[in-house]
Amino acid sequence: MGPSLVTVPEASGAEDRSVLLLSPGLLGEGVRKRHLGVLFWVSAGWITLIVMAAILANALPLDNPTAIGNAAPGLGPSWGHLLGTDELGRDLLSRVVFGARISLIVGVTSTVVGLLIGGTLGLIAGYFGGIVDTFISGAVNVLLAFPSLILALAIVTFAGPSLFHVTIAIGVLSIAPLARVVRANTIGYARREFVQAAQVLGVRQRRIIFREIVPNVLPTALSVALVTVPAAILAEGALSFLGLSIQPPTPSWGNMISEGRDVLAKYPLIALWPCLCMLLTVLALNFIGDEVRAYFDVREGGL
Amino acid sequence: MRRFTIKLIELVVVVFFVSIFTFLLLHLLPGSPAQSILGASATPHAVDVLNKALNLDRPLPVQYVDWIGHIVRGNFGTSYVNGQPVGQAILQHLPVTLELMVLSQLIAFAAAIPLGIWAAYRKNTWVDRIATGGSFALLALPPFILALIFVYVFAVRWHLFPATGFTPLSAGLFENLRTMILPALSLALGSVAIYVRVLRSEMITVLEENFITAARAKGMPSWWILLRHAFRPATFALVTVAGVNIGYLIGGSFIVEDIFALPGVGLLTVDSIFSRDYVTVQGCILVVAIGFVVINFLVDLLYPVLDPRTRDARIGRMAVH
Repeated sequence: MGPSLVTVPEASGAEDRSVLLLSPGLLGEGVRKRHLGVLFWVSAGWITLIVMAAILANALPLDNPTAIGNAAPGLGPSWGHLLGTDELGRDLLSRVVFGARISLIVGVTSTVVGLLIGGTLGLIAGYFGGIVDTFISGAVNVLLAFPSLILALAIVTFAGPSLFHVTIAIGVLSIAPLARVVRANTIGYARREFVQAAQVLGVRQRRIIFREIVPNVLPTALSVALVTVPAAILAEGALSFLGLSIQPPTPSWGNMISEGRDVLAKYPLIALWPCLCMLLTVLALNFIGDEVRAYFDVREGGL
Repeated sequence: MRRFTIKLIELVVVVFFVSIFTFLLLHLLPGSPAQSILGASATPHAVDVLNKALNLDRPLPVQYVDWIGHIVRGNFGTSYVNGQPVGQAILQHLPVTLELMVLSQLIAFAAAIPLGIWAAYRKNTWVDRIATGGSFALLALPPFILALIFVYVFAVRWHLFPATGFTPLSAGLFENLRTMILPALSLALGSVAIYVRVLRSEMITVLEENFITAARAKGMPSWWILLRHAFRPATFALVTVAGVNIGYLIGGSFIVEDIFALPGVGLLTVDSIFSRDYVTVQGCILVVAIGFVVINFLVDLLYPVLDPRTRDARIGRMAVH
């Protein structure tokens, strides 16, 4: 297998006393990886490639992604069509590149919304507790009360399938998980000794939140936010797959997979490419999230 | 007991808001809901009749009270596409979804618990790397891609399992499982990934605690420490995540049912969306969301049983102020 299996665990393992506790002598003295691995750069390279391709799609020498009949249907990869053509003779490379646009727009926009709204709510609820917490947690619980994809599905079904509605629907999805994670972490830190010390010393609440809590909670929040981008991409893919996102013939990875599924036995490649793109993109984003977390030393352990 | 009362009130409030949201869904429809339900070709008279039937000509609060009143009595309305009572349709489709979800979770826990514990114990060894790396890759594979891979490999290529279709339990357990195993597996693998990661990182945290050092100092065997001392506190997070994960499962089961043509609530919903059967969609969403709320309520009640530290949460919180 590739080197991914070697570098996937958090890089700063030597700091975990559990390693020393349970299997003494496993690691050399003071191994402290403070660099980003090769796979991080491979992931970053893939994301850059996808982002650039999506932005420059119109300028690239690609076939029209929706033009039918320019080529024979179901061709395998060739120089003329690097990834082959689909069951209607459309160039698959072009469709994959144009499809990337949809995924990226939805992924990034919805996460920014979720981080700003959800993070703030979680911090307030977790730190102040009491009635504020009850109120915010209640609101978050209502949001979480909807199985995530179903909430998006409900909004899009009734409001109508369009890119805007899909982005809004998925953006709403990421508010609740981020708020919940931040709240849970804040509660954990709010009862720690250093926070209690600050409270005893009479430090103002706002200062405690920003100086003592936020720096501790932020890495987790950001690492979760880095995961909500790929999660949003997957959610969009699922909605697209069901035919509830941007409508064909405009390509998105989800609707390409859905079309490929109908001809799976005959032309498996048609579904393969968008599946592979989605897999690699989500994998790369997840991996970058993990590496960044390790790099900034977000500890797995307690204190 | 007090905690229970608070949680119960929370449950009622959440269910109330969920019902309001679901109720308002019909009003998200562009234009008039009645027109959308009946389609563009409906006569103005038919639209008027439906407006009356759905109370759409009355003020919103009146509509809501009327709607929820019917639902409490088990009347979810009637489909305008096939004339079937929606409640009856949901009841018919529910068992398949439940079976799918239970089966997938059985698979997920059976795989994730040993893997997670082992990976935490043998951190940074090849076992850990395979478990962590594998679950990492699985997180990037949504159920619909897994399902397609399984269909292609096990149904199209090897003809081991049917690609679509469903055999009810009444036709025999084996035949039933033959149609359920690929869907359940498509749904389970994502959960395996999540549970392994959570359990591993929780176990690592717990294994850093002083009481583990104490247990080791006393010379207790590793397996005893892992299962008896470390696993229980780690299950706290696992149960939380499993509760939240049910939302992901429901979403996944919708797609998986659609792909494998399993007659569950998901397939009913998706089919209803495309036949513009909005009353049925609304009913399905309400049932699914409330089911999810109730399960999470039960998970919440489990916390103090699993983790004694949360029993004095309120005292701890008061000390902060």
